[in-house]
Amino acid sequence: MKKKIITALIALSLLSLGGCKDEKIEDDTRMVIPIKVGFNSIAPDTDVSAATKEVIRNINSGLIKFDPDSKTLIPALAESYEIKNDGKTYVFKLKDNLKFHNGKNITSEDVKYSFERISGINTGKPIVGEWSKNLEGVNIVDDKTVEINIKDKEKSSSDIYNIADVSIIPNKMSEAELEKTPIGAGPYKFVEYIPGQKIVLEAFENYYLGAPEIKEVEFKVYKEGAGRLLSFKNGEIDFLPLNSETFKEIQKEKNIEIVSSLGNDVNILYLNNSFKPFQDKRVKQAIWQGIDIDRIINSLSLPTSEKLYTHMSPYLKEFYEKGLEKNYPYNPEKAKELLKEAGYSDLKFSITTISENTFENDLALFIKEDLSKIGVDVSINPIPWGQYLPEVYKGHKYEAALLRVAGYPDPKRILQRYETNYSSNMGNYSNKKVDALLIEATKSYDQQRKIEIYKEIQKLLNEDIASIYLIDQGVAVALSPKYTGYKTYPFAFIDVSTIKLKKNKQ
Amino acid sequence: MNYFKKILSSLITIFIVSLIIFLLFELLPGDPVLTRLGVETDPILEARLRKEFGLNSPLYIRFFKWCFQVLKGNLGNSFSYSGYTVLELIKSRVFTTFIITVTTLIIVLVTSIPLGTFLAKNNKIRFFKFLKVFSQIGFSIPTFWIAIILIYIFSLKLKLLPTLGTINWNRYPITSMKSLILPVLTLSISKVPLVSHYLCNSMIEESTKDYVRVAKSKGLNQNEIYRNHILRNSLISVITIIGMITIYLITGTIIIENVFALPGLGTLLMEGINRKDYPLVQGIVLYISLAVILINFFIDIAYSIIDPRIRKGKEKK
Repeated sequence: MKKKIITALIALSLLSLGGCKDEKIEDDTRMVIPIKVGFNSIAPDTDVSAATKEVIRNINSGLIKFDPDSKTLIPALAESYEIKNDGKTYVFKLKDNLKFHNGKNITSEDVKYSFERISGINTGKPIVGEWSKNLEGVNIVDDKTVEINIKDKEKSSSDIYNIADVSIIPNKMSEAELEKTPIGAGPYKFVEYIPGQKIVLEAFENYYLGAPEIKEVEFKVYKEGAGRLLSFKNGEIDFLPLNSETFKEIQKEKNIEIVSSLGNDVNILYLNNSFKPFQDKRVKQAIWQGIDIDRIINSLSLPTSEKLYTHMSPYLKEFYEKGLEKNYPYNPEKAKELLKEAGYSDLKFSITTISENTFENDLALFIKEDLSKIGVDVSINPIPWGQYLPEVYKGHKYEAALLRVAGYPDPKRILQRYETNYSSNMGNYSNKKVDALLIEATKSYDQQRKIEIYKEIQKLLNEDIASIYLIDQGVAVALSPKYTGYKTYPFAFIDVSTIKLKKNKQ
Repeated sequence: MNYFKKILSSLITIFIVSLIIFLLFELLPGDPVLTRLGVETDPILEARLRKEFGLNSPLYIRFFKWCFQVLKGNLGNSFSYSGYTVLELIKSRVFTTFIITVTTLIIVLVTSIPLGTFLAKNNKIRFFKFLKVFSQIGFSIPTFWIAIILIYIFSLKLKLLPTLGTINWNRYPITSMKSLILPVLTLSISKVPLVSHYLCNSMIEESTKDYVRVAKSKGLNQNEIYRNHILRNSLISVITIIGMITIYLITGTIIIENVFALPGLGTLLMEGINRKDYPLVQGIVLYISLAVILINFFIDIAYSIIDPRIRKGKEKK
């Protein structure tokens, strides 16, 4: 009897191991993509965290959108747009035959509802704080034409970027519905969501740019670590964001395509101006010239990363100020001299980092090592993000701090951080000229003039050493051998609709 | 009367545990609203969320509000998963943890009792002494290490099992089942040596006692003595270990769930802590406290089933 039971058990386990086929559809049009954390909310624009946006952007679509090829804003649901009344009124004309995921046609009513929802005009519950300040109202001109009016006091040349961020949703759809079963006009339809675990999306056949080639995609919460690489190699996940180590590992594999580019994120060593030694420019310059950034790039970073000289990455080519490269080259001897001159030959300070971020903690170690060579004693103070955010980012309580600052397509949003009274002005930087230039850029609707202004600001930041700009780490992603064509963005977005099947290309 | 006392003391324990967690959360640096909004915080949104989360009232009011809510069977809404209640989130995760716990326990019991008995019976043979040392090594190896080795063998080399846990019983029942094999195997490999080791030691100790000698002199054969007397008495100490293992498993095997990307209670608890989602953490802690109390209760019952003297002792009182 005993023997029979044991035999039966062994037979059963063998059956479950090999006898049954995996249901993971062997179909190439289904992808599994790992994500780091679960979402706060899947309703359009409700959760502002990058981890959510990079996924949810697949469901939603706006009137206009950022095009990673031309690096400019191009019409999306809108056929065309016009800016009137000195930037107060934006007139959008919708494309023909636009449809939502539920099959309903998209009309001006829906656009009006979407903008009113986000600004909380009717409900008193704004979704995006800035819109609750900026929006005056939305007028329906006809079924396909809407006028968006910005308040006179708030209007700025950056409004167009904010408009691009607003997801268009069906008229009268409630928050509760949007939280559980969001409907949009993006390339992917919502299928299933299990909080903290995964979200499954399905290609939208009536997408205005045509149905995407990947028919189903599952974004699955799967923390970074050795397991991810193993799962990728085992074919269980089809997409792998790379760091310098996994990059080297994946590079060895012949069939795997690596898509990489600059990331438009900026790694900064913030030096707090309220810490006395950092009020002396010579000290800041000594620190900058004491850090061997090339060594950091070679040992820590992705091959695509680039050295920076100001708070702007060459990703946004048009706005990037070249020619600042020669200002503070690595020169430990010069650094020692500068410190001596400033009277700080035995300088001590602490660098606060986010304990969860391995890269920044490694970066801090490299900086500590380099600075010890010029006689600066650095201590590293890693704290969790939950503490870093209120204390360092908002409260500015630190001596020096490392941070990877997210980029945006809009240079105003990047450089605004240096405005004297801006809440996220982490380095407590203040320069009246920069403040005035930022205001001028906000008021100017002339692209050429804006480019000049942003370049001028970059020069000033470099000259004043507002912070020490280190690198744009870049992004690199590996796709499993079946796929190709993935495009990266200068903000959080895994655009699945850009991924194509390799066999279709051949 | 005895049970009434027990229930009362359990309720007090739960209350104290909840209070401590509440206070600890308050002391921890960080702010749930800022954690949720991230770098793109906005004063208007901050104020809205603070009001929605009820963070404007003092700590003691929040705590008692929470207590009353719980008495009504409502664990509240999660801060970090908007639109979801804590109960919904726990329900969505508890099944995975439950299956892992039950399957591991069955495997541990079915394997370690015969193994422990076998080792105890053959204790004098040198090879089995060596096996005992080996089992000691077995329970000293960290579980994540066992997990990585198993992934390497079964997933990468043999390509039999997935490295990544997919739990979706409606859509992919077989894949879900397969996803649980390696985690259960990992946990069993680390627990079987522990239980069999304890059982073996306890049986060796029992076998030196007088009643065994009496049984032997009565002419009972060795197998009968082991099965009916020694094993039964040794199980008492093993039950305590099994209870501890069950509590360890049911509270969410954080490491294993992380290694295999399994959506269980352990990972949910970690998410709650990271996001300062105190309704969620309070809810899970409450659930864990209840589970621990229930397990202790069952252990008590198991004791009295195995050893009637315990039951009789209580009756005398």
